[in-house]
Amino acid sequence: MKALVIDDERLARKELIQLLDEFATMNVVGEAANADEAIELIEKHNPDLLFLDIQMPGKTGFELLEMLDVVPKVIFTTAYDEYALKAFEVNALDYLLKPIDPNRLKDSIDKLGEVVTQSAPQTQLRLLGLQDQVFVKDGDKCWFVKLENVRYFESDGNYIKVFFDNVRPMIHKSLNALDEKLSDRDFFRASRKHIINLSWVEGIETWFNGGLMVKLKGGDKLEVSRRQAAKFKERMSL
Amino acid sequence: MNKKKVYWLSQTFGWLLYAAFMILGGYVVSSNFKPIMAMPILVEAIFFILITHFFRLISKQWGWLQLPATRLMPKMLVSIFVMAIPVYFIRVFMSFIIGVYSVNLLTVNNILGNIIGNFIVLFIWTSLYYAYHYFERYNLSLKYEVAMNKMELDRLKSQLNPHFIFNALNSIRALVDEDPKRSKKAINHLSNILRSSLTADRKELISLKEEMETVKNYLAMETIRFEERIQTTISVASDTESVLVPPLMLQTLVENGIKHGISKLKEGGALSIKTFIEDSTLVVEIRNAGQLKDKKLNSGYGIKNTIQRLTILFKNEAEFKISNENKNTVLTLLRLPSHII
Repeated sequence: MKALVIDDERLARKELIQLLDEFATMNVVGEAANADEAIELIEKHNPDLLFLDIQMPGKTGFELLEMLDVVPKVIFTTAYDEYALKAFEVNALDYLLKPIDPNRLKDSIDKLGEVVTQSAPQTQLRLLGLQDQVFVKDGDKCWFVKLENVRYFESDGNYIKVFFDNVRPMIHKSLNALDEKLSDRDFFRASRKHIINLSWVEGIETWFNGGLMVKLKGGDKLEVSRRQAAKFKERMSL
Repeated sequence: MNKKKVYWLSQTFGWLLYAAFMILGGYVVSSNFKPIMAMPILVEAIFFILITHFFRLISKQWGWLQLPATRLMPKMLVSIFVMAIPVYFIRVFMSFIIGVYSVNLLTVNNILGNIIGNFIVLFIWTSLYYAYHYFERYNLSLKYEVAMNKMELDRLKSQLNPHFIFNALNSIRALVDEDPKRSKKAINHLSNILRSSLTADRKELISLKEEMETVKNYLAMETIRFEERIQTTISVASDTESVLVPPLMLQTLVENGIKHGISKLKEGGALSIKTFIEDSTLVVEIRNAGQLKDKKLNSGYGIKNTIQRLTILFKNEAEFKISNENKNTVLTLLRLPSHII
């Protein structure tokens, strides 16, 4: 598993890397002292796991995550400010307190164990699929979301509402820009307003003006515009 | 309702009630009590109001309220006695005017009996008066104590910053392999800081020299953490060393400078501390790289806490200011009266 260590203190990085030395499965591919260095290294090495300090000069750990399209697994490292992590829903979040207890580190790494390294060749233009994870921050709240859990995206002015579980946080992005990043196999641009996760589609009905009405698991109903309807039928049929 | 209003209301109603009881008593005791006889009692009540008010003025003027009970008692008894006499003669005089005067009003027994009666009434009045004030003062001192305790707690919170301690320990853990000698030194720095923060709870003031030792230990620790990102300069004028300062106050201010200033800068920056005497006051200047944002003024910099401590310790003799000196330096200025051990 390729790991990247991000912390503004050299000694803190050194300490963690030394601890990680003990784990055969961990391959530390680099270390970064701030968000900008980290971005560069993430693009270069495409790591599976980030050890991330939250308080750093320049951009914070959260701001770094917001800049990433695909977010690898993240383990936060922090000295005391657990409160910063309260922003997260209880889901899939792990953090380590400094000085790091080797046993705790082992637990965290064991938990990651099942995640097999996706050794698919990483081209720069890789599109986001269902197995990819994204970081969503809306106000004080944060989520790590696997795209397979997102039912659909809805544009709202300069924002996109992301519908998953029972929440719909907003991110500052245009639906067109997002559409370009999502893989066509998994996501479909239904109309000017919506992108649908195809794996959630449960039923299709014809609608006015040659459009379609798509029913999603869970009961959401979305309209597919006439322009996109033919394309959609083609995608959904054999 | 303000205190003045309460005072006048209780004065009026209290004494009227007293008069009412006296009149009622007159009816019960003597069969030939005539309504006109109520007159001198009412006038007496009014005189009581005036004379006790006069007593209150004197008591305030001469600072009797601040006296301990043992010194207050004799003054109180003498004044009551002095007041008790004219009150009785007012009654005699009034009786004379309305024509219910009888000779036995001036028998020794009657005079003494009535004066003692007045004495008791006035004794009750003054006791209530002083009891009210003692209670009020006790209440105030309780409130003061609560405020002090709360501040003490706040101070502990802001000064024994756990974030700093755990980060320091983390650096030391890494140093053990990299530079064992330095890691040993770091343990000394950290224990010195912890020790002074423990003793700080017990002392109100310590010498600047002692405080600077803590600050130096603290800076040594932060230099290990931030390495070349912090450069420090310290200049302490020798005549300031014995001046008394609140423990850990400078350390907190320096820590603020690092936490909100230098640690936010990728390249880090400089921190300088300068102390000197000016117009016989101690001046401490802490300069750090960074820039102050208005919003942070009241929260992040623990300014409120520092100001509170300074007001309690020095009233308005201390000055504390934190401001942007120029585009990339924040200046924390502290001026304290130069009390020496």
